[in-house]
Amino acid sequence: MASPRGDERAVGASERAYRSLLRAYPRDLRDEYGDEMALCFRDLCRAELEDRGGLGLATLWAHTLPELLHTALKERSSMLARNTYRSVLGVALATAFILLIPLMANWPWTLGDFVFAGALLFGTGLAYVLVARMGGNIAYRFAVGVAVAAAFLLVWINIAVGIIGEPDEAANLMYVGVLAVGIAGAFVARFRQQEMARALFATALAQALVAVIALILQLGSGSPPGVLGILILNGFFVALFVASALLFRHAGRQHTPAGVGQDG
Amino acid sequence: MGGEGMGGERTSDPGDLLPLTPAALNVLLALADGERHGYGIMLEVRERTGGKVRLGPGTLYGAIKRLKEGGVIEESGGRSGTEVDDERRRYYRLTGFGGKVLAAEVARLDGLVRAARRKGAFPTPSQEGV
Repeated sequence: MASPRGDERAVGASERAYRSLLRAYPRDLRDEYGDEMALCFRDLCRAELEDRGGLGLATLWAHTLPELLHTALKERSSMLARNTYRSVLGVALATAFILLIPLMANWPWTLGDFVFAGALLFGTGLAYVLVARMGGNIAYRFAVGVAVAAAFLLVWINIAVGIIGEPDEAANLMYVGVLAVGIAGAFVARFRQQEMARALFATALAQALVAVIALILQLGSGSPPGVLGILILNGFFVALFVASALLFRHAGRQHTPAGVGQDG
Repeated sequence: MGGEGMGGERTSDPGDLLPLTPAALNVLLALADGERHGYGIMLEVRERTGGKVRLGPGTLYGAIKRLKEGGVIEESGGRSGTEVDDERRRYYRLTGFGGKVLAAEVARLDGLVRAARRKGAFPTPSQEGV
């Protein structure tokens, strides 16, 4: 039979191990109840050691580990579902509110225009709330906001008036490639700050490349917005993507490691 | 539980929180006759169920969190003063609303048991004694 001092050592080690495993729970639960949970576990360890010795302690751990895994997953999934539900609801309400403007102002929009605008606004808002929550600081959120706003404007202007010539000018499809670079880059970067900065620099480069190609091949030069318009519009988007990249870089310097990897 | 519906949103109708999860019901029953801290709740549940139900810390505090958010239980601030680390323990008790939730859940379960008895799916106390 172990000595009382040996028992206390086992209890202390078990409590320390349990405290470190508490990181599996969402931060709010851990901050609010983590200390009490560890105290409870310590009391359980003492009781088991007193009643059944080392075997009791081993049995307690055998019961506790699956319980911890199960409840941690449950707490995390319910937190995620709650947050996502609120975000989606907020974006949907904001979209509906914005769509009231053309409706009340009697803009000559067809039903298809409303559906398209609604889908674009809702998709943009949702992309923002889902990606912005991955970073832990304001700079990251600003960076996501600028990038998402730039992507939104790029699609909107292209569909509405076209950047290279008329909206139906095939050269405008090159901007799909710009967006693809940004989206693929974000996933490759796994939304981490420094890597996101590189992805946005690449997007800015792709945007500039489209302008260069359009100017060299004289695409859309005969119709508005003309060469100067193409330069100004593309320069505007390049500036937005570069600004977003710089903000991501700043976010990475403020807060490492990436917010994506943060617990809680 | 109805507890899933307790995720931070408060309701004034006890029926909105039903049915309770087994963990939530056990916590409320443990607090029905007085305030307790977490470990005290664990011990009460284990003793009352003859060791058949053992709430782990994760299950217990997940239930406490939701019950507290739903206004069903609250911290009492009570301390027994008999334990060295008592100041680190928090005591919980039923709120007035929590008492109504517990009563509503017990009434619901009682209705189920009565229905089961009427259908012969569950022996009446007199039959059990035969």
